[in-house]
Parts: sequence; structure tokens; C-alpha cells
Amino acid sequence: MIKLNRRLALSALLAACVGGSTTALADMKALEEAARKEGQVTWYVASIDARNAEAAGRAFTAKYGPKVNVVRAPSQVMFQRLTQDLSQNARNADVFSSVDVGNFVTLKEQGALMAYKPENATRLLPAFQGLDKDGMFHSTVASVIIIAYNKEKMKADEAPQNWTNLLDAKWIGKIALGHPAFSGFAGNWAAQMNKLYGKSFLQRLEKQKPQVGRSLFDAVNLVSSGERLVTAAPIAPILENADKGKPLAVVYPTDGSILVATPSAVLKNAPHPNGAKLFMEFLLGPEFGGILVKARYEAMRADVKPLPGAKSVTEIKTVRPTIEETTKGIPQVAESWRDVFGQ
Amino acid sequence: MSRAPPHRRGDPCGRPRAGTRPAPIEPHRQLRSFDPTTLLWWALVAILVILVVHPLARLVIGSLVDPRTGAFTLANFAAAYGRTRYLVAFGNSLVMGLAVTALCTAVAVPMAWAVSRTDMPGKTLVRILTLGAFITPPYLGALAWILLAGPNAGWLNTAYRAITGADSGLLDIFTFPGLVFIIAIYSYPYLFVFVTAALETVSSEMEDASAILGAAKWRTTLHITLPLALPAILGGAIITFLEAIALFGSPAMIAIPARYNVVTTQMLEFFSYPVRVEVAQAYALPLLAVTVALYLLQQHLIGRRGHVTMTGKGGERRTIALGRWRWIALGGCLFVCTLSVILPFIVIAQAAFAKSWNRGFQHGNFTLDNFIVILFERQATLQSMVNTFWFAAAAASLALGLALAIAYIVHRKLMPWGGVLSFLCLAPFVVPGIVLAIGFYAAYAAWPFALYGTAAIMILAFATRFLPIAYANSAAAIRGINPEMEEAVRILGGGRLTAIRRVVVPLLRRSLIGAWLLVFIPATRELSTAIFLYGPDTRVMSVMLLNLADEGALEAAAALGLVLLVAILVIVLAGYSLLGRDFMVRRSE
Repeated sequence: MIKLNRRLALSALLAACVGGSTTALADMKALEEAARKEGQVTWYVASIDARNAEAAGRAFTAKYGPKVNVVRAPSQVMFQRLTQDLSQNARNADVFSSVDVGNFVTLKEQGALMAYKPENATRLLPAFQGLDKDGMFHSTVASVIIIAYNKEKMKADEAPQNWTNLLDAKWIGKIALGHPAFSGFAGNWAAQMNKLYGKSFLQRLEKQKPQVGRSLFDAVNLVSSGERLVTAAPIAPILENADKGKPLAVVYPTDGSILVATPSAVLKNAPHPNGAKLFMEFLLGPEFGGILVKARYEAMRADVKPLPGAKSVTEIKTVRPTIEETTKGIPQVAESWRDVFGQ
Repeated sequence: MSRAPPHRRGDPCGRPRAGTRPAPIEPHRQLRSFDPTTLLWWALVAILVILVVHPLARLVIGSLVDPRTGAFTLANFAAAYGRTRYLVAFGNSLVMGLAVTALCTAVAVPMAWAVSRTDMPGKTLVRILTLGAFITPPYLGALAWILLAGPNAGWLNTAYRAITGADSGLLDIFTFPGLVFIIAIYSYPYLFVFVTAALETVSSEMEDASAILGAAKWRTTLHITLPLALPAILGGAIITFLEAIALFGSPAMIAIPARYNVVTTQMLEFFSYPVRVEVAQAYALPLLAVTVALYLLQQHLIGRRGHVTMTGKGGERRTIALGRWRWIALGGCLFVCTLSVILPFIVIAQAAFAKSWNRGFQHGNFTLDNFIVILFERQATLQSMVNTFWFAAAAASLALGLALAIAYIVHRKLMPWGGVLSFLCLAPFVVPGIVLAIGFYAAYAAWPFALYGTAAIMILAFATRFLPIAYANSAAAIRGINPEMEEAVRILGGGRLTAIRRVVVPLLRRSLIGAWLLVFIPATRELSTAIFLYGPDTRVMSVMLLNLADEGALEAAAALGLVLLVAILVIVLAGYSLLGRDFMVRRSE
């Protein structure tokens, strides 16, 4: 028994020092064993909705054993929680998944991330590899932000075809949006609008009297219930709800859908370090990929096939925000949003 | 809900009588017969320092200190009040509070009059429905009204369009009037309770005098009856105002989409990254000042009692015959109750069992899926239910134990400085939940206590928040026990603690159960304190419900809300069957 423990400790140490790229199958087994001993993983997640996050947690538990404690909130709320934890030395979170890559840049600067290079990171499609040059955070969820509308309440040719169409007078009181100071997708979208169309975009958008929720998932629900007619939202919840029979349809804006690859990272002071690493492998692996494509997120590995009906990102015009744009852009746009919208 | 109960008992201030200074105790006597209550006294002081003094002191000190250097500074106040947006939020809260108070007064005073002074039919029904409004968590009401009066898809707007053929809906809950409405329909019970209690003590003889002198019925009501109830109306109005500006849940759900920033949502912004606790502390202090000032004013108004209405002569109270107006009065009362209770309960129950809330009672829209989601699929919601009830039970027990011990010491004058203890027990009454949470966060989250994210910090904060309710009820109960019974025990050789165990507690059992429930019920639905103090393992149902609503999972949120509501109803009904009809709303002696 003692021998086994020592071997475990050694291999865990080895995995931590050498990094994932050389993690062999045996080390993976050792990691699983060590994770099982820890018994649980706490996942702070913003990039997918709570229902899918819980489903992922259950899949992990079914495969490896440890229970997954899912804590889900919009990106900036989750980030605030995490930084508050860190400032109080409260070791709660093991793995953090947020839509705003700027969160990870900040955490990395603070030395809060573990330098864990997951074995599975190398299996991502090339477009999603190498997000961080030091390999401290990795793309785990991706979706394109598009225009969605309620197809029961309007015809396809009435829908806005590009982002600036949203500023037409006919959409006054008809738009639902997420708040960029809370939602990471909304932050990415607003930052890109700011970059592409200048500061006046926000001011003109305010005149449209959009309904602003804290989470973009709320905006999606507002459009599917017919409370509002159009939204700028990640395509995944739109198609997922359409699959369930909700009256939602998609327009790929002619001036470019916004491709957002959202990262995950293991926390340096993770209370369950082995579980955290194993969970990170899981987030990059094929099972989670399967859950993601079922929820209509992008397929990020070659061995995960998307469901039919959605265009691949290679078929549409996309704009992809850089890390620098997002890191600087989201806080700026959130602040000017609050000034322009008064909340 | 949390503020009203301390005012229920015969003592209108809900505090021990100020004139009862403890008798001085000679030191040598104290030494000669050592009483274990001395130790207890110090323990109680220590607990009160932990629960009340330290968090509030940290709030004040933190606002004046630079968190990095520890030096004195006014920079936090400059940061808190240096931006137009932050000032606007403060102004908005005051305007919102005034509007809510005006609306509640306009609704509750006539209702209270109709229920207590007239021959309106269905009085019991109106009382029961008002109790229903009283126990409904305001954020659940807000959720219901999002489903009812969302500007386009809301039930009422859909119905309006279907009936009139209009293009657009009639109501929009995501506006300033919408916010005022949603807060008012769950705040009016405070005024209702205050004013009915006051009107029930007005003797018909005074009204008869006016009638004999030739005044018409309406003139009598306006010039005699209402002025007699004026202190209660003003007192209730102030409590309503304080409740309204301290609310967090309804503004979070309505004001953010309505783009109407108020103090409590602004506090949340100071808690977003990077967290600026010191600025939040500075921002909270003027709010605290406003509440303390208004509370003192309210005490002054209620305590003054300008008119002698209690003559001790058993004045007759006849009901006023309204004629056919009584049906109109009933219609008005039921209209208010429909808005606050009947419609919201229907829509919450429908959404909880619906695939899509907006498809109404259509065939094929029924599902149990939402309950499966909250009970089985999401571990977090199930855990939050367990947390909710055990935190509330622990907080109620802690608050009641503490309150009872202090009330006993104060009223039996066992120790000097009892007045200070009772003051500390009642002090949290004026602290808005969100401000209390910031004080607790500053005091106990960090080293050396390191209670951040633990169950302990939630329970301690809940216990503190509802300590005034526990104390007011304990004090009233103790006042009702003649000390001679305990003295008999002591004469027969029993100690003080024996007297308490064998005489006081058994005598108080019923009122203690009532007081426990009066803390337990608001603690199960508390949101504003929980929102800053919860951790991943200590989420409660109110927090989960807000999360679900944020995410647009309105059906699941409704299902969770229904579970909470049914649980509260069961507890209230249990209280009724144990303790009688009046245990929640009124205990006039």
C-alpha cells in the first residue's frame, strides 16, 4: 500500500514537472487513481449553461468516479468569485472555464494558474491550439456569435442581415442582449462592435431600447418566448433550443460572425490538483466534445463530428478577436456600456 | 418581512421599556453568592460583539481606511460618490422608496380600514391573502410578474392583444413604474398590519361623538378615525420605505433590464472585479444613516401616541355599515390580492409544470421535467434546498437562544447594563441586509477568522439579521411571566438555572415556537445577505433561484420557487395549527 502511494506521488510529481506532452498512458492511469482518491472536483464555469455543465459533470463522474461540483454564473460574475476566493486564500475552485480570455491573462499575471499542459491539448484542431504560449490555458469550448430571431413572429427576409441592421428603427424595443459587464459572450460581441463600428454604435444601440439580461442565455430565452424578436448570441444555445422545437432561426451576419474560443485552466492552488488535471483532460477529450456538439458548440477535435444543420466555421465569414483585443476591449466596453445604458 | 415583527406586541416600540434601569448590585453581594449567570452574561456580551458590534464597526472603519496601507483616508468616499452614475443610483433608490411607500399607503390604509372597521364580507379571506403576500419572497413575485407582464410575451399582454387586437402589449414590467409596482405589492402587508392593529383599538364612541355632533359617516372617518391611526400609518410607511430601499432581489431581476440603477445593484457592481469592499463600505454608510434616522423618526411617531385611544373602559367597536359599497370594497381588496398572490401563484405553478411558460395551459405543454432538473440533474439545487433549511434552523435557534437569555437577564434585572444588551439585540433592525453582509464579509471572510464561503458565516449573518425579531418576541414573552413563580423555586432551594429549566421554559414553550418560526421563515428566503456571503458549497435556494432566472431558465426557477413556497406554506400552516390563527400577522394583547 505504502509502495503504491509513493509510486502515485512520484508519478503525479512527474506529470506536474514534465508536463502533459510526455504523459504516457501509465501516468494517465496514475492520475485517474489519484483523482479518485481526492473524490471531487469543483468547476467554476461560465462558458456553457448550467444544465450542460451538470451533464458534463455527471459524464466525468461516470467515467472516472470523482464527483463534480458545478458552480455556474456569467463569466465576469464567476471571475469575480474566483478572484475573491484567491484574495481570501479560500481554495474552492479546481478548474475555471470562462468566455473572457482576458480573465486568464489576468490570472496568469497574478501567478494563479497551474502550468499544466494536458495531453489532450495536442489533439485539438490546429485552429484551437496554442492559445497561451506557456500552455497555462487552453481552448475548451467554442461558438460563433450570430444574429438569431424568432421565426414564428417574423419571416426570414425580414431579419437583420448584418450587425448594423440592428440599429434600424424597426428594431426599437425588439432586441434582447446580454450585459458585457456580466456575460463573456456579450463582452466579446460588444468589444468587436466597438472596434468595427466605433463608439457611436453603443450610443445608437441604446436608442433601440434593447432588453439587457445578465446572461446571454436569458436573451436567447427572451427571443424564443417571443418577448423580444432578435438577439446577438452564440449560435450554440440557439440551435440547441431550435432542436428542442423552440422557434429560433439563425442569420450569419454578412459583416462576419464572431468566433469565440473560450478557455479553461487549472488553478495553481486547486484543492484537488489531480482531479483538476484529470478534469482538464476531460474538457479537451472526446466525451466532452460529444456533449458540446450535442449542445451545438463547435467541434474542436477531428474525432468529434458536428450534428448536421449548422454551417462549419470554415464555410462562413468570421471575425476572431485576438487575446489583446479582448483583454483590453471587454473592460473598456463594459464601463462605457454602463455609462451609456445607465446600468 | 424581517422588519415588521418586532412591532407586533403591546409595546409599540418593540423594545424594552427605556425607563427600567437595572437596580445597582452591590459588589460584595455579588462575590458572596457567585451566580453562574455572571459567566453567562459575559458569554452573551461576547456573542453580541461577534454578531453585531464587530461587523458594524468594521463597516465604519473599513470605509475610512486605505486597504493597502491601512492609513486613514477619505478616498473611498470620493470613489463611492465621485461618479454621476453612483449618485444617480442613490437618488433612484430614494425616489423608488418614496413611490413604493405612496402606493402602499394608498392601497393598504383603505384595505386595513375596510377589514377592521366595516361590515365588508370576506374579511378573513382578505387577511389570509394578505398573509400570502407577506410570506411570498419578493424575488419570486418579481419572477411571476416577468411572466405576467413581460412587455411582449407576458400572459396579461398576450391576453390583452388577443382581446383588443392591438399591436403592442399594455404593460411593461421592465420599467420604473413596473419596479415600483412589483415591490409595492409585496410590501403593503407591513402597513396593513400596522394600520389594522391601530384601527382595532379605536373605540366607536369617538366616532359616535362625531356622529352626534352631526358629522356624516365619511367625514367622521376622515376627521376622527384616520387621524387616530395616523401614527401607525406613518410608522408603517417608514418601515415600508426602509424595506423597499434595502431590497436586492427585485431590483436585480427588474432594474437591470429596465436599466434603472439603484443602491443595491450598485453595491453589486462594487463587488465585481476588482472587488472594492472599502468603496462598498463607504457607499453603504449614507444608506445606513438614512435608515437609522428614519427609524428614530418612526419610533418617535409611534411612541408619542398623541391620542388616548385605550381608555380601559372596554369601548364598544361597532362595524360601519357600508351598504352596497361593501361589495365594491371587497372587490378592491380582492383586486390587490389578485395582483400580489392569486395571479403570481397561478403563473408560478403553471411555469413549474410547463415545457414553455408562454404556451399557457395548452395540451402537451405539461411536464415534470423542471422538477427532475432541480431535484436530480442539478446537484447544486438539491444541495441548496438542504442548505436553506438547515441554515435557517440553525440561525433561528441561535438567534432565539441568545435573545431569550438576554431578554431574561434584562427583564429580571439580573445584571447591570441590560439596556445596552437589549439595544445591541435590536440594532441590526436598522441595517439593510446587503450592508450587514458587507460588514460580515469585511469582519469574518479573511484571516484570522477565514469564514469566507463557510456555512458558519451564513448562519451567523442570518442569526444577526433576524435577532431583533427573536428579541422582541422573547422580551414580550418574558414580560408575561410573573417572577414570583421562579422565586418560589429559589425559596425551595433550586438555583436560577433550575428555575429557568423547570418553570420559565415550559411556560414559554408556545411563544418560543412562534418566535422560532418567525425567524425561521424569513431566514429560508433571505437573499440580500446571502448573495455576498455564499460559497460554492453554501448556496441557498434564493441564490439558486436568482441564478436560474439570470440564465433564462424561468421554468426551472419557477419549479424551485414553488418548492420554496410550498415549504413556507406548510410551515406557516403548522404554526397555525400549533399556535392559533394570529401567530404571524398580529398578536394584539
